[in-house]
Amino acid sequence: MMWLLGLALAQDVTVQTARIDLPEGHVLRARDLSSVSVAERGLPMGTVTDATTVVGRTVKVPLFAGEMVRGEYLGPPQTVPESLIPEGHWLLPAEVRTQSDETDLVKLLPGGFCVVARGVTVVLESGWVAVPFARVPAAVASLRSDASVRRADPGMRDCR
Amino acid sequence: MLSLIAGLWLAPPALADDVTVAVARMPLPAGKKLDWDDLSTIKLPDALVPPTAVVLGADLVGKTLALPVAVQSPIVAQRLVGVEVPVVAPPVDAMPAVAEVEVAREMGVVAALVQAGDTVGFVRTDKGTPCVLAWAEVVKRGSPVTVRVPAVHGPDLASAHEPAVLLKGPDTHRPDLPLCTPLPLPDAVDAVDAAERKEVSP
Repeated sequence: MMWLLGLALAQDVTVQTARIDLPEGHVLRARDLSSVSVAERGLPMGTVTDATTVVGRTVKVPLFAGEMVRGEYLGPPQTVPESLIPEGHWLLPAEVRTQSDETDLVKLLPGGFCVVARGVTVVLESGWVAVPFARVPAAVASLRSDASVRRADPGMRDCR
Repeated sequence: MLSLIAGLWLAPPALADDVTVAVARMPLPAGKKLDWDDLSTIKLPDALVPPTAVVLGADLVGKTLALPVAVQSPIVAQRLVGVEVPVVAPPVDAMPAVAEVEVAREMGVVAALVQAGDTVGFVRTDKGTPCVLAWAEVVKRGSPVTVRVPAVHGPDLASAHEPAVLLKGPDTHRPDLPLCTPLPLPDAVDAVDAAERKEVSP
């Protein structure tokens, strides 16, 4: 009878589990986690229920798909590597020929320079640039051509 | 009588989909050779038992831990020395639409930016119009990076000469780019794309 009452009153909690294998050094993101809703009673001690408390923390001891995320397996917070890429952008290689903060990906055609993608962001000094999603096809198409990242010029025409 | 009622109240009722599973009775360090005193059993909802968990204590006793185990955690085969990790079929709703293989590739400086679970694209630029050799999910970072790709794209990617790497940033999805080798089933492409759009939608 009491069990039935207990069942009726039992509250569900969300338990965070690893969605994929997460190696040592991995910085946790929300999409690395799977939420499993279970009854709170009988839950192992130390189980992480709130994803926000672990997102951004480093995996200290490898976690394997399906395992409950435990604080003991995690180290201090770190910057998620992908946070260097602005939201809605893709990173791709490009020759960078400016130190300006306002940059475009441009291509040299017989008639002069034209803009492949405006407002790109240089991410790594060694030649990686973040391109807005909508301009990725054009940027990829220019990968073999004489394309480079240069100071933004609002007056420059768009490539067709 | 009161204590009996209290005991009944405190004992978590076992549910139909609960699984009795061996867990660490205390935090266990790497290198520990397991004996019965290190283990206890608890009932867990099936959804909280990892697919590679070794659920029977008898299968754990005598084995040595390769990695630490937190208290009351089921012990997965990957945490044990010399235990073959069972191949686990993914849940039907997570089943890839096409067969996949893992390929190791050097990715240069961008390897420092990728993590397991990231989406990358490999673009062939050495002949003709640039095309995508494969869309891939990072399995393991390092040098080389291990990625998972559709099996049909595995050989081309493995033999490609310095393909350009595209790395997906946050809150975006896969751009519409031509594949060098089309996937065999048009439905499969749609399924993969639909799954990815679902992943980024709020």
